[in-house]
Amino acid sequence: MISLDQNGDPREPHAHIDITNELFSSLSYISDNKVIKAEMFNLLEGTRALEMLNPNLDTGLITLSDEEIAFDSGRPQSIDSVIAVQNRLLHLLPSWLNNSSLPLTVLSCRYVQTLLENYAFFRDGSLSQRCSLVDRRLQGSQWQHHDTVISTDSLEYQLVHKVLKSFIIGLAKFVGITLDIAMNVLYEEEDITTRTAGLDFLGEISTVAVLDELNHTIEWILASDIESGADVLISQLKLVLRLNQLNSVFSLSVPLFEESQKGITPSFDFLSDGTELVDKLSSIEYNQSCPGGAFSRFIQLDRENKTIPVEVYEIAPVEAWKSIRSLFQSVQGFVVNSHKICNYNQLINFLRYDISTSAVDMNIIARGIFQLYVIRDDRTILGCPNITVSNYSIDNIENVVGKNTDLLYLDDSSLSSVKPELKHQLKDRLQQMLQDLESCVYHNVTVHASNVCRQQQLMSKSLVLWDTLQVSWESFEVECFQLCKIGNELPSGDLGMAVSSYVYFTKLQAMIDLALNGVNLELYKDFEIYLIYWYVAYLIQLIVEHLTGRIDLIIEGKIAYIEKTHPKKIKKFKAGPKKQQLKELQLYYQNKILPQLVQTRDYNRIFLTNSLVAMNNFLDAICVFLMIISNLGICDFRDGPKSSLTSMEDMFHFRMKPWSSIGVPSLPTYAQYINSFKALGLDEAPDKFQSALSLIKVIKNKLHLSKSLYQSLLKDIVNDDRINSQFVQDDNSKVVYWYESIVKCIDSYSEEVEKFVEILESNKNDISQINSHNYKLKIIKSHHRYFPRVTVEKTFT
Amino acid sequence: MASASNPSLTPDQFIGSNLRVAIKDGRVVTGILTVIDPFGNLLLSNVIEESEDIISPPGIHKRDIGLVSVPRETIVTVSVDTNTHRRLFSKK
Repeated sequence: MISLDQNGDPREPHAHIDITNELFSSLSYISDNKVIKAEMFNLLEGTRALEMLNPNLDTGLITLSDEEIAFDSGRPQSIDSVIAVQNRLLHLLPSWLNNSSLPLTVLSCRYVQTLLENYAFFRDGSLSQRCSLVDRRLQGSQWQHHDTVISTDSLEYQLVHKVLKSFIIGLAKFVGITLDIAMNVLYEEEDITTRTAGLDFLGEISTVAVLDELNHTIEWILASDIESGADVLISQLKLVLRLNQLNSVFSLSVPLFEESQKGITPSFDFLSDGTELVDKLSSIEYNQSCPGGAFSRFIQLDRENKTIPVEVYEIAPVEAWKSIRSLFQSVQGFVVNSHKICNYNQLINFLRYDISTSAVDMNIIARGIFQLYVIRDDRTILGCPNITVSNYSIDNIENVVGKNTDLLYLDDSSLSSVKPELKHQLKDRLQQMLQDLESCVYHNVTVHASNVCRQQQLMSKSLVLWDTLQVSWESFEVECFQLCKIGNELPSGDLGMAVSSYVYFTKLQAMIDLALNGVNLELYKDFEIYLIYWYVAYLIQLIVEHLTGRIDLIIEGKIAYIEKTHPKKIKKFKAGPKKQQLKELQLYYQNKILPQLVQTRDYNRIFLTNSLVAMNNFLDAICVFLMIISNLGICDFRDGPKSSLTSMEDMFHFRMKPWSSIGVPSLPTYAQYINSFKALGLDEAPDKFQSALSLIKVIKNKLHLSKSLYQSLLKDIVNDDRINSQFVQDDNSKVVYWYESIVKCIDSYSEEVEKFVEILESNKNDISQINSHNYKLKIIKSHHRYFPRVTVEKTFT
Repeated sequence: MASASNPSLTPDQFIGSNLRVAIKDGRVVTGILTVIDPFGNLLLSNVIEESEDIISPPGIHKRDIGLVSVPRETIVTVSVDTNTHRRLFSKK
């Protein structure tokens, strides 16, 4: 190997002066083995440095075979070879999305690298000219093939320079689209890795031009006399074409809540066609292998690379096809279902059950597409021109506390008795308050399609946002009522505080979701599981009280206003235009607002409250079960693990930190947590065996009650029009699946309780034998993400 | 110019200089000296690696490899361009 550092090297125009001696002799000034570093440099960053001449870290040491180095992407290939290359690229695309990077997957293909390098090099010309597969660096090199004369008219030449080239253009453009989506809404290295080895994935080329290119090539194949394999080539090209069509969903405008559009589902043939193409291509047996050297680590050695050497990564073909199929199916699922949404509850439930719960299984690109699909650049929801984030926020409030919330519709007539100066102040302040509320609602919408770990982080952030919002709305509502008598009243005549009540409700929901989502993420240690369920049970108790108390009264107050107060008001007026105006308003209230208020009240009472009560019964059962386990010493929830270096009190405060800054409801104290164990009286019970058995009866009752409530809810979801009209009508309803999974968990718990009774029975003569030495607690994944199976097992020592 | 026995510059004065380091396998890495330890191991940032083009030798192939640590035993020579040299040694 030649040395590149010869003085006077003609390739190096700038003279360099050797300072080797000066640099290394300066080290004699270093005392105490100190490291000398740039002021702003953090030594921790140095841990990701690549070490020269270390085979594990230096990509410059990657060894390649002559075949890999000399691979000529411009050489004609047989139809089987082209099919094999395209097939492998279709496997490498989902491999990239499976925690890998482009240089290890798609860019390991020399054809892709050459095409993108040429695209960057040739700044002018047609798409076809810029995206050549001729490797310029091979021209005139020792590797150039001189053995055969290449005919540009041959089929083999056309298969590479027309078919394969179009396929790679399509694939590269789709990678580019994915990278754009990733930059906007996905998280680097959590969802996707966007390293591109410094290559531009056809950013300047429009999708339309790419689709044209693919369509022309398909037409060319159809017109050519290729005898076998043409069908596969066309399917591969069509699949890439369908992938590029995915971003057309961003231009779909969903006619939300429009009765006239109900039942009209636009055609999304390209999505179902994509799935069919995957099914077809995955069923083919590919016998031919790719040309030698077409896929290698060449790019890792050759291009910009700030990572270590890694082998080319490829997932199993079955997994690859499954991933692409899931992409089309996920997008089709949410696009079709979003067109069925008829009301706000359906929209909210669609986000909560259909999207949020399935985000973990959803294809990464589909998740990204969904985020851009649901909130568009112009801040409309699902592209519906009438529904922006602003009015979505207001409808969100009224979806919980009912229509006709006075404060949200402050206008000159409602402020007619207010002094002009105060009127302006109120209006300005309301505007600001609504903006703050809008950002919280927007924040909540972005949570749904994030990855599960980000969901947790975003929810944690949202607690603070909603808590702050509650404080400001409460004071605003009180002031408006005191100063101007504006605000909905409860039937008793007291102020309803409708918006604050909605904010409090949403905050409590977020607090519950945050705690339970942590169970799904396995954030909690075994000895913390009781703490979390105990806390959630407390929060659910509060939200049920709020829902059945204040929120119900607010809606009743609004109903009473329409049925009693407003008609009385009309009677007071003498006949005339004002009376007529009020009569028309009353008619509107009766026909439009009242049915909606009744609907909201019934939904809250029948569905929301019952689902929460059912969950609370289940949580109560779990907590009692865990308390017995703790009391018998199998897993100590009061003192924590024996090997712990810190106190349980510290661990309590550490675990509850995300909720600790919330003003209302305040975090229960550690003393309250410890006292919760005393409630059952198991500590002082003279006969622990009998006490445990009687508590088991309590557990069984709670489980039975919970199961009955859930089963009743499931019936309502299917049969009760007041409830099923609040969910998107879909054969694969996620909400049904959600509750059915909880019912299965209840059954699992019942089995565990029975098993535990057997353990009690077998040790009834000496209950002290049930201890952490002989038995252990095991928490394993179950049917529902919030409720893993808690089982007590005998230890084998 | 200073000799090994009589060094004129302290190591911190080299920090931030763009160094051109020839390493034993013939490659040259050019980057900003960010860290140096008492054993002469270097940490360079924004590194451009120059090597013989494996496709068309003896052409030179350059690429960006980011943050790189260069162990002392792999270093053949260290050099700087004339401007950097003037800036470093005119301070004496």
